[in-house]
Amino acid sequence: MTADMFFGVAMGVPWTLAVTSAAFVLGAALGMPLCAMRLSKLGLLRAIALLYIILFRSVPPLLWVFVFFFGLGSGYLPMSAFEGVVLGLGLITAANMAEIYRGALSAIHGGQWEASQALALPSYSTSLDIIAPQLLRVSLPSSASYAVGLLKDSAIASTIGVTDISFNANYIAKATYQGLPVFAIAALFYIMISLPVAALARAADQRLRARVAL
Amino acid sequence: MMNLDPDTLKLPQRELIGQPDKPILRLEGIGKEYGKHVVLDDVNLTLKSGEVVAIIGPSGSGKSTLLRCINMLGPATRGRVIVGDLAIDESVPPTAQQLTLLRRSVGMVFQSFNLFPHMSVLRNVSLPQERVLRRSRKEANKRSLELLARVGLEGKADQYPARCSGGQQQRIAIARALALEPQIMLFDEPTSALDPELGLEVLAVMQELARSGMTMLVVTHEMNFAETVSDRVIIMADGKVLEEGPSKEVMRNPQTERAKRFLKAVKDR
Repeated sequence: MTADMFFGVAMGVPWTLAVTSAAFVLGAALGMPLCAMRLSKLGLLRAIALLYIILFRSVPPLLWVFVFFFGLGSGYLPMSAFEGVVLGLGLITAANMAEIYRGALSAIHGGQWEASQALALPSYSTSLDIIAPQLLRVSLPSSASYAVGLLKDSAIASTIGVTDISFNANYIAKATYQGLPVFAIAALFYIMISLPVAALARAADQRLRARVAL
Repeated sequence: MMNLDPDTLKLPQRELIGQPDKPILRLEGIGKEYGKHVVLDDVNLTLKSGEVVAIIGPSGSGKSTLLRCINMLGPATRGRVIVGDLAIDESVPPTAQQLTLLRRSVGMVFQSFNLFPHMSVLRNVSLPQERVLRRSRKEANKRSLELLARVGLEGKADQYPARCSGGQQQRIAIARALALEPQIMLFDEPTSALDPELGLEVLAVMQELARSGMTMLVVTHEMNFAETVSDRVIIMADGKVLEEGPSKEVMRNPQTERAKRFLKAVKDR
């Protein structure tokens, strides 16, 4: 094991972080309207959301990334490998986050809506001031564990040429014929990223819980 | 601590809406069914400005359901609610404007407080003023602090609701509802979730509110409050009004068999 190997794999860390966080932000944002559609009074919206969720959750992430990058990307909607993987993973994340939000909604006391109604709060305020902040707090533990899962799924980016941790590890392993140490280093990086994410989420969860005690 | 001596309380005399003695709330023929099950059966009720009316009765008699018809949290299937100049037909969906007008005139306090847990006490009271009355943050906070002082809790302004006792939370909820300057306050069993001692501090605030001229409709199991604070008492059972009249008369000398049975049950314990 040489320093070259270590630094070579380390070069991929920024790309892994970029793919993971971009896909997560995209999914966390799109998940909100998707969850709202899933619970809509209009049957058509509910059906569209349900179809979306089923479609994006039951097809493997790798396949979706290929569909976007090689399918749409070749001619219809030219995109970089980074864009392709963020779009694929981000849209899958949206489907999963919508389901996480839906679960979290049921943990919010019905009295919160009733109080908002009785106070004549406009509906934008009920959603943004009252429900959304509580929703984010309740869904924090599940979101964090999904984010850690997404970090690992981000390795798919390496298959279409994004130079992330896995791509570099693979490249160096093939060049040096020393797969074991190289992939061990790659694993170490993944662990070093997921541990702090999990710890941060736990700390934030405990702090918020102590303050608001839902 | 709260100041319970009436002489030293600075009671801002409320501006009464219309003339005193003029009806401020009228319920006409309110009826509600879930399928074949009748929850409310032709309930009629008039509240004059400044009047305090207590609704008592056994569980499942429709007291809370009636209260929720008034601000359309759970609309009835028949009848009309008239608040000031606003008349609303319960059987048809109201317009958004009607709903807003109605709910701005009618404040509500819940059994389970329903404070917003992610906001400080001050934000809880200020946010609705900013969003509904379009007050500035500064104006809203000023009014909130006045009202928190009125319920004896200005020291709690920066705390989160979870750090307050149940009695304190309910007093904050009262301040939050008052901040929107309602003409009528509805109380849905405001002390039922509290142990007796904490319930007392909520009742004291309600008593002060009644004395200041607020029109109040209170669903309660507090027989003492019904008898001594409210002007009138209504006894409900099975979705109907059984008895209605001056508090002492109704509480001490009920006419119907069902009302006698209920009052005996609650007094002999």
